[in-house]
Amino acid sequence: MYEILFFSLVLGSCYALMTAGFNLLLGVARIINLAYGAYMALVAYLYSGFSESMPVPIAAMLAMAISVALGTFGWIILRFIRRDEVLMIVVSLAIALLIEGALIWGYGPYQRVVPALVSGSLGWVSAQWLLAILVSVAVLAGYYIIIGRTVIGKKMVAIAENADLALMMGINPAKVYLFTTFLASLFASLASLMISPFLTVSPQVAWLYLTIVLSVSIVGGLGSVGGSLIAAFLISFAERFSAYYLDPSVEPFVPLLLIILVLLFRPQGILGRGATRWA
Amino acid sequence: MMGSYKPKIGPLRMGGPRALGDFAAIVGIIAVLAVVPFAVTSSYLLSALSMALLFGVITATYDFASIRTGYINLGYTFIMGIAGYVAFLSTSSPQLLALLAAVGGALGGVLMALPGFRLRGPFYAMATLIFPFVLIVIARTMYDVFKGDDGVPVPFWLPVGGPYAYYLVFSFAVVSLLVLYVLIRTRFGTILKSMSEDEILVESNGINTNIIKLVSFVIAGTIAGISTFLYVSLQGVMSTAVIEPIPLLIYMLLACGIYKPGGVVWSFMGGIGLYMFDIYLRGATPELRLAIISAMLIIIYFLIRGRHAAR
Amino acid sequence: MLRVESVSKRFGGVVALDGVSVEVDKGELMGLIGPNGSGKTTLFNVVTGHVKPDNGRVVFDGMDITRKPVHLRVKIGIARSFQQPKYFPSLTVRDNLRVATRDEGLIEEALKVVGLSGKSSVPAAKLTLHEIRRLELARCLALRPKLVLLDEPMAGLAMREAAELGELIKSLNSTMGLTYVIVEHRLSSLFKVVERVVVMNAGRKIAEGTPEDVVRNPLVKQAYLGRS
Ligand SMILES: Nc1ncnc2c1ncn2[C@@H]1O[C@H](COP(=O)(O)OP(=O)(O)OP(=O)(O)O)[C@@H](O)[C@H]1O
Ligand SMILES: [Mg+2]
Repeated sequence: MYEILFFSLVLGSCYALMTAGFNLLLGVARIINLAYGAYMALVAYLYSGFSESMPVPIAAMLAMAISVALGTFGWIILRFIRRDEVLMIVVSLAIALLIEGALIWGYGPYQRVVPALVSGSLGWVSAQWLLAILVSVAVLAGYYIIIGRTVIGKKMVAIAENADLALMMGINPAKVYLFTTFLASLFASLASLMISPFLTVSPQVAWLYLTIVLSVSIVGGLGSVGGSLIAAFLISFAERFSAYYLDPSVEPFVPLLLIILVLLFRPQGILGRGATRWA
Repeated sequence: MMGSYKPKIGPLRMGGPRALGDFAAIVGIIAVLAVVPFAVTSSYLLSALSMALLFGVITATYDFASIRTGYINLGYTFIMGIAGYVAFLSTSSPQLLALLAAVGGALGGVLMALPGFRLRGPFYAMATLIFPFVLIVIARTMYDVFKGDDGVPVPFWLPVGGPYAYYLVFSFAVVSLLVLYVLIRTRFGTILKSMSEDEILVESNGINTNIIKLVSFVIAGTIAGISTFLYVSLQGVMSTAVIEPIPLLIYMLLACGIYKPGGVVWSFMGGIGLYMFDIYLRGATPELRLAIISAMLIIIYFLIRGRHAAR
Repeated sequence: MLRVESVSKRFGGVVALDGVSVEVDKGELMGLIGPNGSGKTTLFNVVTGHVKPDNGRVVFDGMDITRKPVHLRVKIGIARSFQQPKYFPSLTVRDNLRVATRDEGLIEEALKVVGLSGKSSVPAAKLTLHEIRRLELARCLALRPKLVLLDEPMAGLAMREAAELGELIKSLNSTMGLTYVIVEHRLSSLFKVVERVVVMNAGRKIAEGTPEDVVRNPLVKQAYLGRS
């Protein structure tokens, strides 16, 4: 029972972290990045690949460094595609497929185990669980400090609120977008390191990640980081508890059900603002 | 051209050089497809072609409901999944199978239209993309019922590979295309087209756009459902592979953009061509296949861009 | 026929409508004027259902339609044109009207009335602005409306074209008994058409009366001079 509660918390924080990055890109830079899940899969593979030849913490850091650099660099492509919504969908799907292809080419189409970052446990709580919660909380708290206290954070909020107005107020969006991409890459990479050890990972895991991110975003409100936090825990708890109290087989239906409920009663999502407006 | 008198033929309009050209092309294609079994003796190729025909029909329905209305749906294979599971999990009689697949397809169409009541543009696309992925997860976790990647076995009723199966599929394809072709030339078809140009204006013409979306997806879903029934019967197993949106969806998008958006017959042909291409690609290494498909995605963009830039 | 009862609407911090009440009688030709941003288009949107008001009611033919969806309001007889002309560019002129009605005879008639019969198979994208305005009018006619709301139908037209359109509106009013509310910035052209004018400023109704009365009203002068 406590275990379920705790594990829901663990997965909820991972969901929150991964979705926060996606919605940051969507909310601030207006980018729909369907390659997001593939990017997370790439991080998991890099990390698990490195961990075969070096100690786990170093492998994790190396994977983080490479993937965050790659992700931030990806802004060059993202900047190009944000001009058109269909282009965003099509090109980001293409990038996702390319990453998936690269993973198959580099690591083979097999399932592989991603080692936990930390081993051991405190009673029935494994250290990886604690780490996942701690990292998510720390990163998201850091994010709220950034947008609340720093200049660049406030610029991000301004652009998310009203890009035209922000531009008129003399905010240079290029830097803000680059920083947003950096943050999103950081969130995605960390989330992947946290959640991948719980799963058996194959190149197709990209689509599982994308499904989670999209489900949570739609329930929480597309483009809203705060909404994705709420929705992440909502979905995670609902999944685990329905599996426990009703039947394990209902678990996969939970996100779909929540999405349908949200679409029926609050189509913009829990905290989203008018998903129908800019489209 | 300007000011020329145009005869009225009820609500159904033919005429105009373009429509005539289309018509000639259609007749030509149908004629070629009709004689294929005389030229192709390999039963493998014949059944591959039958499946391509069905995929072509599914692509044409996708064009009809999704591309034509401007509601770009990235989860269309969900409809195939619902149709396939509804039918093959409940019965083994061919007639009932066809009926249930049609009902399942219509149901899938309703489910795919619903997000469109509230979301549009990329939001609709993202929301619909989730549906097939979730269905795949469901099919895998509830293995007892859906048999996951292994799939539900299909009763043997169709002698696969022979001309009989081909002609059955062929006649179904011709009838379906005819239905879609006639529909897009009625007022309903005009309204579908107008939806992609300006939905607010369609509403201001006193039309309940939600009903239009619903009806178009139900029509498309019903035909796609029957196609899925035949497709799965040819394949011999109803598994998650049928629902996997990538790459099938990419082929559909590409096929619908090849000639002009909204020309169901051209989408049908595009679907056939790309499906055959996919069969050919299956011999290639998976990474090469993924690379080629992603290159195609970028082509799609340039093909459908014009229409979106117009708005 | 149409009664708007103390309707208010805010967009974030902007008060677009602030307790506006307007009545339109059957068969009337009414003008609705006011400086930019005074809430004229928003008032139209409230009447047609494109915007839901925060307060107040909209009553049409004795029926409260405040919560009715757009398409049902069209069905009971409210047609409108848009400030940014709306039409389906890739459809032919006739197909544009086919979206409005299935009655082919009505389409021919509407096209003839606005003088677009010769262009019925031309794609709407090829029309001039003047023709597009007339297409919008034809579309309204094809809906068999009781009340027609026109949002700046003369904007961008040459003097003579504007006058022609005004004549057309007037003749439709007398022959078919259509009721009109017309938003227009070109007051001289408008005043030749309408019998009564409602003036708005900053989301409020500040005056109403015949064109002659309204132009003499000091509040109106102030509203128009006060801006810039
Ligand atoms: N959908 C909307 N969202 C936010 N603000 C809006 C919206 N529609 C109108 N407004 C605001 O409401 C106010 C009134 O606008 P409205 O378009 O009704 O004015 P108008 O009288 O039609 O002006 P114009 O003569 O320029 O057409 C304006 O300040 C406008 O910016
Ligand atoms: Mg206006």
